[in-house]
Amino acid sequence: MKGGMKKRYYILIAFLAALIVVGGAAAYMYFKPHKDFGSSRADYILDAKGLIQEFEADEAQANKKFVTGDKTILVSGTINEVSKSPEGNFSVVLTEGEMPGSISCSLMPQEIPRAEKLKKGGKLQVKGQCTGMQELIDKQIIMIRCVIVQQ
Amino acid sequence: MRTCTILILLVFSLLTSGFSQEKYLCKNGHIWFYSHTPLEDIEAHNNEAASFISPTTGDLAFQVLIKSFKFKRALMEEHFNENYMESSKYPKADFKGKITNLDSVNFLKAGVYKTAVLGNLTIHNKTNKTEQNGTIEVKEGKLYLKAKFKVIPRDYDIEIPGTVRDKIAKSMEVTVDMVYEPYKK
Repeated sequence: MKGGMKKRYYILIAFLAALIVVGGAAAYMYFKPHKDFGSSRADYILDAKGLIQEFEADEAQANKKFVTGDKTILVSGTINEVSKSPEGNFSVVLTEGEMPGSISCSLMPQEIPRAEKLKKGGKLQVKGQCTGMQELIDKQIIMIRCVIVQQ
Repeated sequence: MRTCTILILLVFSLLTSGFSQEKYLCKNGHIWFYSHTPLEDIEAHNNEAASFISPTTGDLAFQVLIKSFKFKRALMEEHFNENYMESSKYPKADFKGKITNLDSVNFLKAGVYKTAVLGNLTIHNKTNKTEQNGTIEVKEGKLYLKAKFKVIPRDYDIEIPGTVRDKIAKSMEVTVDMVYEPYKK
């Protein structure tokens, strides 16, 4: 093999290798799955009262702390309401005594069998993603992609 | 006799005022958007939308958290929040308005009623006046509101960079699907 051909050959190999790396990285990014809140370690562990109080005291600060960066929040409280959406997914409202405000937790579809057994007044601990606070009706902290830790 | 009449009137006015405060509430409504592009369809669902309807005044309001919109792809969700909606700066979107044809909706009689709504839609900290049509179904004491409308990202100062501009449609189709339960104060 002549020097020129050899050089061209190496360039081609390098080019293909770069293509595979870039393409692979792009595909990895593109197909990156959602964070699994069930298996990830909790960044914050608190009860319904604690979470409501943090949002009531300073919403912007609470958003920065709990919402930004898709942190895993483990929250426990008393079941005030269990509802099933027309699509069959469950949502549980957690409250704390007579305190105003609530935490709405949308459960992952795999939790349907366990959610069927949840009852008002019972205790529940869930892990999931906090997306902030809505105040249109009353102060409602929203948790999505929740899995049941303890019931 | 007179005090009795006054008392009756008082009780009656209390009752009616209590009645007029009746509201219909929805705490986990379904709002989703969709756009078709040659490359791929974009779709995201929010199942935690809050809303109320006041049958006496015609007041109607919605509120959603941007972060509650769930996409199939994590990367798209990330871009939606960080690049387009800037959800850490503007975490909520809301609508506040009124039903303009309140007379043609009978909240006490089962049926499907065509409903027109006029109000302000705020997304990405930008408010636009909007008029939309939908239906309200009265069934077994509950209200079912359905509406479909277009939202143009540019109207809300949502900038889509040149490299992906062609991949994202010029307008998004928004579908609202809510179930309300009565609430008496």
